[in-house]
Amino acid sequence: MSKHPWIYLGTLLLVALCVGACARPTPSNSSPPSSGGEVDLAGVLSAGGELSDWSLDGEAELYDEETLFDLVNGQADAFYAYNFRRVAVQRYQGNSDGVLRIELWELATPHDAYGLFTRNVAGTPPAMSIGNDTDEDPGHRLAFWQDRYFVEARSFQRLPEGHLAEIAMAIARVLPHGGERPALMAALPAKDRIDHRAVFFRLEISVQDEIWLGGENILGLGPESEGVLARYEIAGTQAHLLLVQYPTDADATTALRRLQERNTAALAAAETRGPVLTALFSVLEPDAAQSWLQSVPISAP
Amino acid sequence: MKQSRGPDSHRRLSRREFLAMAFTTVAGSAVAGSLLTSCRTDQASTPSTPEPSGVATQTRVSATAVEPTITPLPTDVPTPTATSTPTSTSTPRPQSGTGQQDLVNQNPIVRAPDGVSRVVRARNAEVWEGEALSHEALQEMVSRSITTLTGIDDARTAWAALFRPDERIAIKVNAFRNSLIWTHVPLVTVVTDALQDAGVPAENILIFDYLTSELEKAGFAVNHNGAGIRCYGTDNNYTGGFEIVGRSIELSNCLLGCDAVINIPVLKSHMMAGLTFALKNHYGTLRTPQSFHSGTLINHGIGELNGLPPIKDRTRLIIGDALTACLRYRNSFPYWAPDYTGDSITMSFDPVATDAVALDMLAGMMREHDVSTDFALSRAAPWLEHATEIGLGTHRLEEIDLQELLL
Repeated sequence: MSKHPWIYLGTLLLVALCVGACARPTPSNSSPPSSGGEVDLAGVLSAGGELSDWSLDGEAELYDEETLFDLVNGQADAFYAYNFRRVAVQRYQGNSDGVLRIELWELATPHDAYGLFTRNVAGTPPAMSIGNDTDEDPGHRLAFWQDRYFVEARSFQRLPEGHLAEIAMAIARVLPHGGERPALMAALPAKDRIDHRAVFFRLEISVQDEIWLGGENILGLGPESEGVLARYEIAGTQAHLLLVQYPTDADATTALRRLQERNTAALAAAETRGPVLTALFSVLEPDAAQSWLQSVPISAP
Repeated sequence: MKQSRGPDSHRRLSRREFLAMAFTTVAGSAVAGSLLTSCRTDQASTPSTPEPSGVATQTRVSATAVEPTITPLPTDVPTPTATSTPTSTSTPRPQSGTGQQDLVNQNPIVRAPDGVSRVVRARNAEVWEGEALSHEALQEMVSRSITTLTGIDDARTAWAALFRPDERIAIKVNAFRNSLIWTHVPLVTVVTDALQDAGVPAENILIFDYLTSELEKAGFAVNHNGAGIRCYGTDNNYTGGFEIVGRSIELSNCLLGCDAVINIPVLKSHMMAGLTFALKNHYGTLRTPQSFHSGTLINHGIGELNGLPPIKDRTRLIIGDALTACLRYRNSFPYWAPDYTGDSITMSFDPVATDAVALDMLAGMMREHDVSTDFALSRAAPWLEHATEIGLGTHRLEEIDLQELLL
């Protein structure tokens, strides 16, 4: 040993590297780049241009937190609410005169990407599945989310069946894979639910056009809380069910008190179940609303 | 020069030292790796608080109080007017219906002496012919509106009373690019025809918004300096020296280079303002609209912007385009799209009254389509109240003389 200390040092370095490598997160799929790395958004969108029916129409436009307003004007806060990082916009020219526009949004986490996806769900689940969840207006629009990315393709003319899916799949192949729906989504009761659309949110602004809570964050939403809003029809009456999961039971109780103190006319019933605040917004009578709320299984994830 | 080594520099590692070092290094790597993993996981599961959009660096420019002079053609370099705090003092203006022929240069953005603001809403169920707007129907709507608003029986005379042939007239439209709802070109064409018919040379009329490219996309014929009506965006041509909500701002040279403004917004719901119509349309006259979209910045910013002399003193007419409307803003392209086919235009001298009437119209359309009105009404209320407080007009429906014309 004393004659060849470099052998020991070399062995030491090799072992250290192996252990360090083992401690790194393992991508869910070996071929796509890791979601933690910097993804070349324009490069991803160029994958669509490699298909026979489409060619890139100019370069991708890139927007970050400083320039997002140039793309979305006064709606930038809607994207900051989902921890916006970057977005790339690419236009494509079809061989048969079609024009396509695809936006690739990079958010901070898969939950954020899922949230932005849910904000834009049109209401009808499509037959095909691209990414983790897909939403489609056949021939005109196709959206999906994957890892921490939300992708929406929109054509200005009705495209033949399969065209949008083909280009979306080409993009999905080169995006990082992975991402799971927030566990809170599974807590939504199936009974009386109108459709599969449910908005996953972090800030009140993401659901203000469905229920208005005053714009003053009375729910005390923050980085540690997550919410979902879904539509129901209870005894022939429309209702919104709101679930918010807080870090602690006490946080949920505080939010419940503030919500009740606000005396929102649309609030029919509310309670807490552990760290989850549940609130029903409807014109239902309070007793009927409370009774319904207690009849459905809502369990903290 | 070689550096001499210390006495231990050649000391060989003992087996115990090697094992100790190995353990420390391996364990350290594992811990570091775990920490890295942990950090990544934390980043993934705990998003940081979203940051507001960056506030652009603004340079305060000394303001010079120089009133605009009337010259035959638009100039490229306007003179800024002094920053001022809007006040609620009213300048007397002729009441509608008096038949007075010379309304020009009397400040239109004040309530009438009797405290009533007139808003005309002209409706024509046949204004849409399929996908196209009827030129004749629009002409009638505009003509009847201007006569009803001014009380002058003849439309040409009414236009001539409001705009002199030697004045440079800027028409502020809404042509936001990543949207599919814009001020309708046929409506603007009817207005520019009326101005020319009243003696205003086409070259004295400028249609403008934030960018030339967005005007082009919205269907306007861009014309920087050729014969005919001019049409281009502010692009990067702004002048500083103004301040709203305690922040320095720059205003469009398209606005500053004109003598009179006709504001022609299109009806849209807005995530932060509830409604975007007459007053908020001037966010497209400002270089940094992104800096005024939350809290007091929007609730006072909208009014203070419109209270700046270059906007307040130049605005001579507001024609609201409700030929389509956007009831539901979207969080993906197109961010605003026409999801309601309307049949109306509004006309007024009072932008606050225009917005109050427009909000009422928007809410009615939303109810008709089962869209919640709460956020729009709640978000619009503070800035409408503020605009009234600082004397830009009135948002109180009981103080508005709404004239509905069914054509």
